[in-house]
Amino acid sequence: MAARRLLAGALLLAALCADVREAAAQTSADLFNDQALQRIDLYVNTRDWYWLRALPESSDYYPANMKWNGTTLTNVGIRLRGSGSRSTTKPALRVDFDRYDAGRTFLGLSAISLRNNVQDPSGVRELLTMKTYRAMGLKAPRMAPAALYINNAYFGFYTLTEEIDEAFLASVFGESSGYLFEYRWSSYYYFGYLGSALAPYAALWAPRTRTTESQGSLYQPVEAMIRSINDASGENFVAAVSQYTDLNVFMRLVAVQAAIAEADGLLGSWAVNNHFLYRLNGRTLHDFIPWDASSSLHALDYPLHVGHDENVLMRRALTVPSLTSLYYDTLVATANLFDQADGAGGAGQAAPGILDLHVAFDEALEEIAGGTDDGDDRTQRERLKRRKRRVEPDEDHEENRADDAPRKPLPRLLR
Amino acid sequence: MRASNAIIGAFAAALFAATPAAAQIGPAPALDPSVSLPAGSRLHVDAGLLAVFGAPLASAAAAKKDGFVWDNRPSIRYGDWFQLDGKALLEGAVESHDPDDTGDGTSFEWGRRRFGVQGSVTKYVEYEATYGWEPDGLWRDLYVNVRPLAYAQVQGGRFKIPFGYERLTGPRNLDFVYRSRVSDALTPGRSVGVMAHGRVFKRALRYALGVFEDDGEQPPDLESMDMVPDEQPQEQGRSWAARATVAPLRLTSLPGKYNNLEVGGAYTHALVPEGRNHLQGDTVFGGEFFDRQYYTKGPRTRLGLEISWAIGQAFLAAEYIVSRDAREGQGVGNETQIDPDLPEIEGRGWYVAGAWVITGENRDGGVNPKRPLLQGGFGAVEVAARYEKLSFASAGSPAEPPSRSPRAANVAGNADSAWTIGVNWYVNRWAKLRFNFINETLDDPALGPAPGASSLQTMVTMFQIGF
Repeated sequence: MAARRLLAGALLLAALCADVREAAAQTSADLFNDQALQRIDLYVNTRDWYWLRALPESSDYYPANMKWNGTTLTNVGIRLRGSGSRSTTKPALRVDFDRYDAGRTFLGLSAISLRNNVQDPSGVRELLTMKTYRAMGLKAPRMAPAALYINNAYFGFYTLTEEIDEAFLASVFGESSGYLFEYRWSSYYYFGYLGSALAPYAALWAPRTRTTESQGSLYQPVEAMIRSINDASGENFVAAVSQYTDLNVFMRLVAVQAAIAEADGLLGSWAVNNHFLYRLNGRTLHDFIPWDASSSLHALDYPLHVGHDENVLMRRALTVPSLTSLYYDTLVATANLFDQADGAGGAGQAAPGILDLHVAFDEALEEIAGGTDDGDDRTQRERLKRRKRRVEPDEDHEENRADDAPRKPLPRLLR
Repeated sequence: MRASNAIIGAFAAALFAATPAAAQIGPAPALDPSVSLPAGSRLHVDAGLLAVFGAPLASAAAAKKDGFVWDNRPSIRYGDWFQLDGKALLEGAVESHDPDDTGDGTSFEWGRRRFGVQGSVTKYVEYEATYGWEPDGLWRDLYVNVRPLAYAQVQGGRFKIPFGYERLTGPRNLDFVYRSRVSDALTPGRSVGVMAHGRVFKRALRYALGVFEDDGEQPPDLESMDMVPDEQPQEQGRSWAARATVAPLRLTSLPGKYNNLEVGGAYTHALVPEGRNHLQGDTVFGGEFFDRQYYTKGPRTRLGLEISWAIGQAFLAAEYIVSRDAREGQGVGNETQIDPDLPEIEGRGWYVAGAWVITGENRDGGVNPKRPLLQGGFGAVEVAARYEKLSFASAGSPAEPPSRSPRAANVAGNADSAWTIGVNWYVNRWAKLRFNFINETLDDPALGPAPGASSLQTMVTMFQIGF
């Protein structure tokens, strides 16, 4: 299995790099066409670009123009994103199309992310993982490799990422009026029941839509789901839990995560993490949407059964034969997907462009990071601390996204 | 809302009825000769313009006395060598709004609370010092004017930058509770500087040319930008202003009360440091309809045109002002240029106003009731109306759609159109009551103070006591 993972990753990467071309049509599918290196140009006032990079803790927005595939979108808002991936040398960026013009979309999208890949040295883990989810029929954001240019100068190799927002919900669920939550990692959690009070659930899942609704409206169904996961009797488990989540989807998702060696997913080394939860309007059924796969393809020998015992939902689901079969069938199907990629891929055709650029840039980053703590930098930091917060506050509270969660301790499996 | 205004207005009026008796402690007020002067003379304009257009005036009777005299105001005089007049102004207003989005209902607010002195030392030196005990309490006017010749005078200190007819009109001679939106937003107000000025041809031509330390007190405070490495601090540059007015009918044989038609123009130039420092638009209703959202840097210019005419009982005035704030290097760039200049932010506004004294007094030089209340009459009553518009947008016609981005080439503009009807009751020489109803309409209500409201209405009743 491990060898297959490695091979699959290599082949998919090769296939990915084999077709570097410019997209011609103007659809979101073209923007997220992962068979092309998408060139994204951002034009930013040099003062704004300086302060964006000088204030690593800030999520202030700055105005910019974005150009892609011959189309220039004026007056977008950009800001730093990420926590573990937060970098001022190679900043991860969120690009909001509707920051200054409410309701504006670009190709049906209200925002995109430019992930800096600093937690993914290969630059393709997330892209391959999300592609695998989608190939297996699961709902996952689209990604594409991107060359980011700032003010006409090449800046770095990034991963263009679809945001999990109303636009995404509308495209995959056909509606976006439900309740979207983003999981916020704070400690190891395995779907254990946290009691009838709703605050502990609110601490774990932050609302991203319908944010002004009461805690009861938001979290009563979540509490009921966790309660049923924990309290439903053995014979009633499937019926009880199925009111709140599709167990088949859950089993397929964790199976794909196991196949792709996702170390920080629903069952990874850090317990439950990196997902969105979506509840359709007027219903109690919750969908898991994977997010942030920078720890996928984690290791050749990464165990297949990580979290199976600790995670209550997984442990109980595995007592149901049909779900167990589904899990292993999906595992095999994912492996077969790798085989198909092996057959279809263009091994040996890897264009040097993407990796060369990325490696060169990362080497430069390491050199820069090697000797930063000199007096000038200290002076600079002091000066930055004195700077007033002036630019618009982040009204969306986006800094609380899951990948902005506190830095995690070394996983137990690695300690 | 209207009923409460009326009640409070009546209450204020009752208070006013007692004012004349209290005010006449000194000698019975003689007719102030200044009221017969044309528009723009001492009583018609405030301190800054006073020095430009008028000499210290005193009634002939009072001028003959030395020591303390009451000549419609407390005064100390010693022949032609020294004169010191006390001056005071107290205002308060009861105001209500529709929609009442704050839930405040009818509220009372103090307006100007100013006290000071003005006068002359010999016939060559004039002075004024006025302090405002207001929330932003500070010296309002503090200047000396040296006038060796009527056509060649020099004034130094703090006073109004010579721009804008209504801005230069003192609060006692305004026809409405509030100045027009364009005067409020686009004129500079007071600053510290030096100004050469004078008048020639029987006051048919007046001019003023001055240099000032900044762009005046009227624009909101400047926002400072944080410097990037190796950047030098930016400071506000000096401004300069020029103004000229012509009263062509003064050269004709028309009677004085008809010949004061005055037309003029003014220009200012200031250097404004980088920041969100453009001029902004405020509603009478309260709150902005065009806020300081956009980065600017570089020159701010203003051009103003004006006309005023007091014709017997009637008075007409109109102004047109255009301001432009440069945005040098504030763009986000494109394939060929980094940090490009952006189109200027342009403020453009005008008003047309008229007033009619229905009790028959002349408007020339201000309204002075022939028969004050409790002195055999009811005072003087005047009706007034004004229509105005103030708009902000990017200058020119930028190709891109309008946006709220602080570096948008095409800013999301807005405009405020307003009409005002008013009644002014001049109880006596010192006290007056003004009632205004103002209806404002915003081009884009979403950017205004009450996003759901297509029109904003304000009712205000203001009392004013001053000498």
